[in-house]
Amino acid sequence: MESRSAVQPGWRPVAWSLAVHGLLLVLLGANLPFWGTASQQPVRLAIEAAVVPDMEAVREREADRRRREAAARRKAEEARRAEAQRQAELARQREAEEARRREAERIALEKRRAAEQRQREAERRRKAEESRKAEAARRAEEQRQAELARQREEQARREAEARQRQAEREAQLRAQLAAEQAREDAVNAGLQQQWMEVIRQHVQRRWNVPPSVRAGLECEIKIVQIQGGVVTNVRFGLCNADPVVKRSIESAVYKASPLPPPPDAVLFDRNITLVFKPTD
Amino acid sequence: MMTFRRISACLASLILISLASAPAGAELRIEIREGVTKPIPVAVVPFGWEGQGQSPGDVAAVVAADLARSGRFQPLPRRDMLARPTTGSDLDFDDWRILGTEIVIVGQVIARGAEEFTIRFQVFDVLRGEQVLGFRQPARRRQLRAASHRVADLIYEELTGIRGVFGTRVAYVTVSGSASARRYQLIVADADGENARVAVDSAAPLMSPAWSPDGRKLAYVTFENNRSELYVQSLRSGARERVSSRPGVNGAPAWSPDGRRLALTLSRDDGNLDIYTLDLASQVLNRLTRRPSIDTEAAWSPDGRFIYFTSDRGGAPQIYRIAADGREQAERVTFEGRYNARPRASPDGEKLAVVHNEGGNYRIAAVDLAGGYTQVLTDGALDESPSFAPNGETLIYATREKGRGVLATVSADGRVSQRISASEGDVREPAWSPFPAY
Repeated sequence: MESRSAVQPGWRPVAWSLAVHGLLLVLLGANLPFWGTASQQPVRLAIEAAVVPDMEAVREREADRRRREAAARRKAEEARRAEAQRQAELARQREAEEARRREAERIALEKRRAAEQRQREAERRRKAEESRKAEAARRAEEQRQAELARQREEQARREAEARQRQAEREAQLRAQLAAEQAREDAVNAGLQQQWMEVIRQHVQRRWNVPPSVRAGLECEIKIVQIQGGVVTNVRFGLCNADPVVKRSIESAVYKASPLPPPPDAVLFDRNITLVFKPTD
Repeated sequence: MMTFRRISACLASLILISLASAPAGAELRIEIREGVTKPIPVAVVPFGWEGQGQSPGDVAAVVAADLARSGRFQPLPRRDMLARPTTGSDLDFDDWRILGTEIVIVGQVIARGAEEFTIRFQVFDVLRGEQVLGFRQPARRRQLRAASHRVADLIYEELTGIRGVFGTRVAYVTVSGSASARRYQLIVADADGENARVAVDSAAPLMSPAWSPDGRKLAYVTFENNRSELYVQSLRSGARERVSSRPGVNGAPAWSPDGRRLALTLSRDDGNLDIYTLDLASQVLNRLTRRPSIDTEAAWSPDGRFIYFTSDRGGAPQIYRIAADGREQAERVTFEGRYNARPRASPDGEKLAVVHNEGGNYRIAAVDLAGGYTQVLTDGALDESPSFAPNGETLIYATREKGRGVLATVSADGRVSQRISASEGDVREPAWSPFPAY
């Protein structure tokens, strides 16, 4: 609301206007002593002449004008006021709208929060439930395992005892067998040495050493024989002999076939390697 | 679970037990430390003859005799042969296995013309049942024996890895006649004693025959002019040339391996026996020894760089060596025994054959030049004049038997020795020819 004092039309401005015009007339009419002298006389006439005619019209025109102005001012004022009211109304509406919107948002937010809160709660409860279940299961499992372990230990202990007894029996048996075996081996070793010596002499008598043989001769020849001593296969191994000496060695082996049999059939070996290495 | 463990435990122990009771099955290794050196039993089957009339010669007999003489083979007598194949396709190995023969040689003489022949032969290994060698050797009628020796050489080389010397010759001196009418002859014969030819016939002593390296000439010492003189004679033509007739002694000729020089012993003016070399083309004489001692019996090393000789500069005769151009000092090379003389270098240059006195007996010994080891090869009382066969396998030397001079051979390792049947008279100073130039 605007202040009324600024736009109120009334008698005051008219009064002032009259006052001023009046003063002006007085001054012009009166030949005041303190102003000039003789030169002002012509001027006063002009002016008086101009002003004196139609003061009424002037005042009417003035009042008309003033009324019109006031009316215009009043209109303008009213328009302004209406406008202002309208604007204020609009503003109020907007505010109210705004307020409602905010309120709605707030409520929505509240609802969401509440919903989330509930969810979290539910989640927490669910998890708690699960961990309780898991805990329970684990404990149950532990117990079961412990039980199994106890059973297995028991088992192992029984088995170990059984094996122990078994091992002791076997060790005894083996010791007996080993003793027998050792006696037999000794006999065999002696017999084998004997057989090797027989073969050595047998081959040596049949090896005709060629004149081209050199010191440091070392020649391996691998023989395969079958039962009865017949040589079926002959193959040179590491050999540093010249071709003539090699042939003499091969001939010696052929002449030595069939090889003499071992004194005990169990000693028979299909594979024999002869190493020709004269100690000359 | 339980059952599985138990089963595997049982299996394991079973295996252990069975392993422990198996025989020591590792590979048997037997050392052969020596052999024998027996002659190899061979059979040289009489060769077939394909041609008109009579066969030009008995090749098989020559071959068999050569192989036998080498000491390394023992040929089967013909009467013991169960079959007489002449080619491999006729050959049945069983016929020879029964007899213990290891090598069979069969062949044919095939006529190519009136005077031309081909000797075709094959050598078989009975133990393996396969052919070892097969050859065709051309021959002319008059050289059939030489061709047979060539066949024997080829067989010998194949079976021993050593070059054969059956085609070589031997030169030697024979002394016959009574004390008042002596006859000296320089004889050249085949290595088997056949085809003996008289190269020089003289009433005065002949000595020291020496073969030129090409086998065409002989140098020798003769006293025909009542003094010692050195001659070189061509065997084919009989023409001879006097190469040294200097005052004093001219003796012990020895050919350089390139045939251009002769080493010889001269006494010349000072009456001192010393070693010289004579260039045959330029006749330039080079003196190698100057000592007051007796230096004689020069022999060249096979590379021609050194000359070995006998010297008593140390008191008793020993062998010394000097550079062939005489620039270096002589050095002693024999240190075993108080007497070593008459050196001959082996063809490989590694050994010297010498006359070595041991306990009063003069015997042939082989001195190993690297190690100084001396091996006595013969067992006579007066063995002398050793000469190497050109393959270094055998030495021929002179020895005495029943008061006569005879020739004998011994293998270079001392294992095999043979007497060479002597003709009449005294045989001495054998010299083995070089390899024939085929």
